[in-house]
Amino acid sequence: MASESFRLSCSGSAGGTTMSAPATTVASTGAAARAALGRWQFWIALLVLGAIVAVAMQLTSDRESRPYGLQNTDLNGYAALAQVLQHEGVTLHQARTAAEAQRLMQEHPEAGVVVLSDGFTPPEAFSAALRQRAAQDQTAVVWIAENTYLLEEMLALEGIWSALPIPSAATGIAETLSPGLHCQLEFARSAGSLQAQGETLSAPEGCFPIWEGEAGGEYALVPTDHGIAFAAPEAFTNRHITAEGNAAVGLGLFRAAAAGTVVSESTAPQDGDFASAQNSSSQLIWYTPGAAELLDVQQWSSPWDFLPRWFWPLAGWLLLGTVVGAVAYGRRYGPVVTEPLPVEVPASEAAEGRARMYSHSGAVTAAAAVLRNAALLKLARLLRLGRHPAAQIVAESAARHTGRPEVEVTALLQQQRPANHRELVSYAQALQTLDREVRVQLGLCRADEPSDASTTMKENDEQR
Amino acid sequence: MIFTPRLLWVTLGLALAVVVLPGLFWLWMVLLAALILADVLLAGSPRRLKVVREPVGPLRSSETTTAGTRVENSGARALRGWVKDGWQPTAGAEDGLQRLQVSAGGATTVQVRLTPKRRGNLRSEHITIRSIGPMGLAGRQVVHHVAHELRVLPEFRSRRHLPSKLRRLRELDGTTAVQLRGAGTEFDSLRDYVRGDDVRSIDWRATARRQDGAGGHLVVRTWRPERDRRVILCLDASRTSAARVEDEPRLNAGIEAALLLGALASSAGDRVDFMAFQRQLVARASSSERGDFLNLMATSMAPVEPVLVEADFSQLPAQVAAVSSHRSLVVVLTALDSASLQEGLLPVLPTLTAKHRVVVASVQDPELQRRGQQRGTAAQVYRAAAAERTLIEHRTVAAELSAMGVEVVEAAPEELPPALADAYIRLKATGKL
Repeated sequence: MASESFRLSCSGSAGGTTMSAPATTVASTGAAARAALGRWQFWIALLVLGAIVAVAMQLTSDRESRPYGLQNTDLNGYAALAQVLQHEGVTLHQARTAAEAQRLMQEHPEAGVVVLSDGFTPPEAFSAALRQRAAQDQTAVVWIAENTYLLEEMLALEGIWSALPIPSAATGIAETLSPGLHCQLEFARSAGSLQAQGETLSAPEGCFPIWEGEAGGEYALVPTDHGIAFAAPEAFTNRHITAEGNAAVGLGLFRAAAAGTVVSESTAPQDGDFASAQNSSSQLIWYTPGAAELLDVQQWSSPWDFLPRWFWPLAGWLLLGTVVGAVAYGRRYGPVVTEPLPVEVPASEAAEGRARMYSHSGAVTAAAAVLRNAALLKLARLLRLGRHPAAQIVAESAARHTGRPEVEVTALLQQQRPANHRELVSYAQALQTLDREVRVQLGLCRADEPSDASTTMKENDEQR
Repeated sequence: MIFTPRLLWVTLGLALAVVVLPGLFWLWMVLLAALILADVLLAGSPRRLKVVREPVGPLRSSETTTAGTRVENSGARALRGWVKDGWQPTAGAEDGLQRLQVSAGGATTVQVRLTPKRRGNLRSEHITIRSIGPMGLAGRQVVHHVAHELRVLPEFRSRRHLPSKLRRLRELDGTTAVQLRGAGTEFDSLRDYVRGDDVRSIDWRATARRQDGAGGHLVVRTWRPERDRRVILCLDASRTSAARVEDEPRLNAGIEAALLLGALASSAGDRVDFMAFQRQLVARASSSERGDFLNLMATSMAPVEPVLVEADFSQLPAQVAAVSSHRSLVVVLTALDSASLQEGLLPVLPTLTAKHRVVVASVQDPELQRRGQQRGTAAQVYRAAAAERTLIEHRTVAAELSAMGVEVVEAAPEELPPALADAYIRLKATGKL
């Protein structure tokens, strides 16, 4: 029978799948879209719901989150103060830009102005105009900032500069300040105390000093020619307004400002006589400078301004090009193809593990015993001494074949017990040498040929 | 929706227009969007295609074939673009990504050249059609989930041993049977006695008749080797077969050995059954089925992969009994791993040996022999000791099996198939089947 007939015939009909779909093998566009919609239903619903919730939250929350904001009901807001002021008949007009404040000042010439700075200063022109109006007693102005450097800048007065912050205890509670000796302000004196973190201004006179001498001191509240400066806005927040005399100071200060009677002590409302201060025209323009204004009044042009007109459009276009490139080159041809990988374990792993165990435990005796037994078995098969010959017989036969002294071979195969690594290695090599010599004598390998696995395998086959 | 590199160049080209007329940025944007939209809408619909996979016959690993896929366009527009056949990496698709052009209402066949690197059922789960618009800027892509399967048969490297083994088998024809056992040894012919023939096979009647004529010659009966014996090949595909010996799992050597012995035995007129098992039967083939047995066996064993479970040898006697109720040669291709053998095969062997002749074939790891010879340092000596210990254990198991009347064939992966074939021929020659 010819061996060709045993070649695997490759003309079978196994494998291959024939689809018998009528027209196409994939769903139509509409069906695919519906299927995708069905598949992503949950996520789409989740996304829509999330969007609705986000929009609703945005619409329903009118809370202001800015510190010292009049509508901010958080701990750092002024909502409580604003509420009480409005209850007292003070109308608050909020201005977010200098222009708006200017417009409001024209609309309500009698109104007092509060400039509350939380990091940004009003445009210099506006400040100057306001200072002038204050100096001419046309408008009552209150300058508030947590940073006294800003106050200094806004007031622009000789003899007033920023000083030490109000000391506070290790627990973070600020020291309670008393009105002090040089306090000319009635509402401050009647309030009696102030407790808040903040800074002070060094001035010839003022209220709530942290230190005071004959020629002046360092005050939290300083009446100046350009209006009243207050350096501890923390005092009127929702959190601290109820501490000590903070509420009285705040109400007194802003009501007086609204009534336009801040500095002129002669017309200052009497303590407790709130009704007299509550005239119908009590107005307060509350101006908080923002970052947007700062950009408008930048004196130095940004380097971006000198870029050609096409720069930004081009940058946008190139960004678009990047997206196009990413889609063009990054879109895969269909799903990722998987390859089921077969299980494979190195066969000699168990032997390797056993070797490591021998090595870790320094099993010299065990290793030597194994090698000796292996050598005895191998020699017994090589010398054809039957199935289970005694070690002595193997040793005698090996000695006879190699011409070595019988005593030496017997010692090697029976008596030697290596005690350390060095002896073990030389013992193992001695066993190998004996095995080799026997093979050479039997003609199984040449004397100059390295004894390797192939000859061992050959010998195994012959034995079989 | 997909974009092409050409669209990227067009976009970069339009960047020049943006520089010249930056005020019309949105116009350029709309222009680009219009170009993309027009191209996408004008591209032939990849959905209105019918993909038909053409059956591809089984082949041996490292051979090359082409897998055809017919693409029929039932759309109103011609489709131009790319096609990607999703063959798994070991299928060795050289040109998985090809250009595609199908006229409206027309059809074309995509031919993918495959050179599989692995045995088993290799698949392409899907084919991706990418349709590009007339301007070549953008298009649409759709994945058709139509599977294609290619069965890759074992390589059967050991087939080079087949001619010599068959020759030896033929030599058995007409030789004197030295052992007469049962009715299985069949009378073949009469011939002259030559020295060395068994005197028991002298046919005295024929000799007497011969004396009448030429005279002076003894006549012996000759026997054909036994035919119509049963050979059952049991391939262990359990965890021990996953062990890698010389860069190949042990299972592959077992498959090679089973293929060679199966080919040999079926051509010698024996009935051969093949089964692969781990916890349960995973493949089977029989020479009593229609068709070329070698092909049947190769096809059935192609998808067999080693699984990390312990083999269930306890089912083996029942499976063997299901295949044949007569005395058979049961060849178990497994590993002489003492632990799995002691608990699995040894307890069921008496049941098998009582009725059948059992041969256990196992792959020996040549690495162990090599390690046993390296004794340069202490670490190497320990490794040598561990290797020798494993070999001694194997030898012990082999001795134990021999004591139970089981023939053990143990050899390196490359040598196992011929060694097993030799064992079979020896058994046949001595009429022990």
